[in-house]
Amino acid sequence: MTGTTRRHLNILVAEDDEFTREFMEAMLRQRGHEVVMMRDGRQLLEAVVKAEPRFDLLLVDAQMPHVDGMEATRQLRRTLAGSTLPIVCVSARASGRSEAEGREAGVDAYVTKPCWDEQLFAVIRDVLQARGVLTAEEEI
Amino acid sequence: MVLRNSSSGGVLLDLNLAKALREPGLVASLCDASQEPLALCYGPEHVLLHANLGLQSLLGQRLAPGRPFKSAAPGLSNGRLHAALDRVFGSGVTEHIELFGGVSLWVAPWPADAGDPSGVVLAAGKAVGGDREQALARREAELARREAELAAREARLGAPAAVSPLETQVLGTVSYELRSALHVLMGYGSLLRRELGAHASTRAGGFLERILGVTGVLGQRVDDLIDLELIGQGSFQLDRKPVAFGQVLEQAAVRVRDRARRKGVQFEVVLPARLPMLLADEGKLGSALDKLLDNAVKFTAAGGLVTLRASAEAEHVACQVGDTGVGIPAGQLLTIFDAFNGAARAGGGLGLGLVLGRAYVEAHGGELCLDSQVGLGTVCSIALPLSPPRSA
Repeated sequence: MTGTTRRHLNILVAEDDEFTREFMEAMLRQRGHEVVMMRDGRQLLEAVVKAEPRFDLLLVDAQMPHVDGMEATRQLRRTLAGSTLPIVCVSARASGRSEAEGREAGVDAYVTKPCWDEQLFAVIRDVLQARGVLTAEEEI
Repeated sequence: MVLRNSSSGGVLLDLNLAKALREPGLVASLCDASQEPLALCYGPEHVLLHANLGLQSLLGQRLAPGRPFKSAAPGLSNGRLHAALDRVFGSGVTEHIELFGGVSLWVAPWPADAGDPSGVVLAAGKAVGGDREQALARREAELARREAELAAREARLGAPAAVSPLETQVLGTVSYELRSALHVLMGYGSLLRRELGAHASTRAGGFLERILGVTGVLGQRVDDLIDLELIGQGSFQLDRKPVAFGQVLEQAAVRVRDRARRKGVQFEVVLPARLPMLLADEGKLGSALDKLLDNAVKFTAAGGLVTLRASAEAEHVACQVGDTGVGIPAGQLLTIFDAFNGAARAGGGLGLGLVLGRAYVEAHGGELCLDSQVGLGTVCSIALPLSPPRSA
């Protein structure tokens, strides 16, 4: 018997690719999380400012029209609402340079596509625990 | 020089590797993984950060980390030893001293390429016979020459001619699209697996596992394309850590054994009892071996033989993948290293095995050569330096 409890998160996803957006929504909902889907960084910024209650986690694509994930993160880190928000960048751009750019912009973690959702959730768990959003006894 | 408790002067090899590591944590991992007696001291007080069990047992002393070496090893009140620690920390020059009972101790500045050392590494052995100090000096000089040579070669490497700038750009775009699509495929596969739940063992579940298996292979191909793109951009990087080379070989052998058996190809592995540690990217080194072994099995008919051999030399480790397969015509030996080469693709796949295998080996400062005769087979030889390039 484990003493863990399941935690349902309020997650904001910004992803421009339609297929990926549909999949992310299905995957997160299958795991029991509340999801708000956005198509680009501009929508993402508006959603964070308006959000009530606050999001537990942002999953952002690096490459998006209008405002990309990196720039959205940079802007969010300068605001009160976004300065401590857990942000995980999920991107098909795979190079040390992209990852370094993400870190510099302020993302908590950079995950490269393709990955299994278990891998993504292992990273999310570490990020949320480090940010104090999730305790060691809580599962997601 | 013969060191009784080591083979091939393993003490000096591991000492040299420890010197080259810049992170104290990596030196500690090396100490734990090494079969040689090693320790790392930090700062002018020589605070003992880590001493492995080998050193503690050779010195007959429990060494308490976190304290200056003098008080960390109270039973070792050897004035010459403490003076040597001070001198090496000040001068940055390796010294060798004799302790009690024939124990030889090497004290080297750490890290190796720092102007002012941050600390010292200690390595010990029980030496017999020979002029040890001269041999050590010769060896140090040879290792320094080898390091300089490797650094120069790394600097020359840049973007290999195997991929043109246009190909690199195309690869970047294509791999981005492929990765995105693959992510969705793998994702829905996982969702479906969870939805099937208790029905996972049905025929439908079996089909799904096949799909996910092929998706995994496709993922590997995409990873290969991305590495090719990064190599073309000159931004390919290794993630070096202390690695037991023998273990990397054994694991690669395990991965290919089943495929060889299914094809009816005999597979023989001849490895020495002990191979040295390397400062290497375990994933890329394993991938290089996988690609060479895959090629060997792919181009060898049923009833043929594939062999994996390795040996430790003075300054490098060598490994050969041999086969009794179709062989490569002399005219193709040069072009076979070009990406998407037709001959290399004859066995299926993208034909990137040799290109990437060689790129991974060269990124480690090593060399890969092919020796082949049509109808008789091919031997692919790898040599990897024991001492990593300075830029590592």
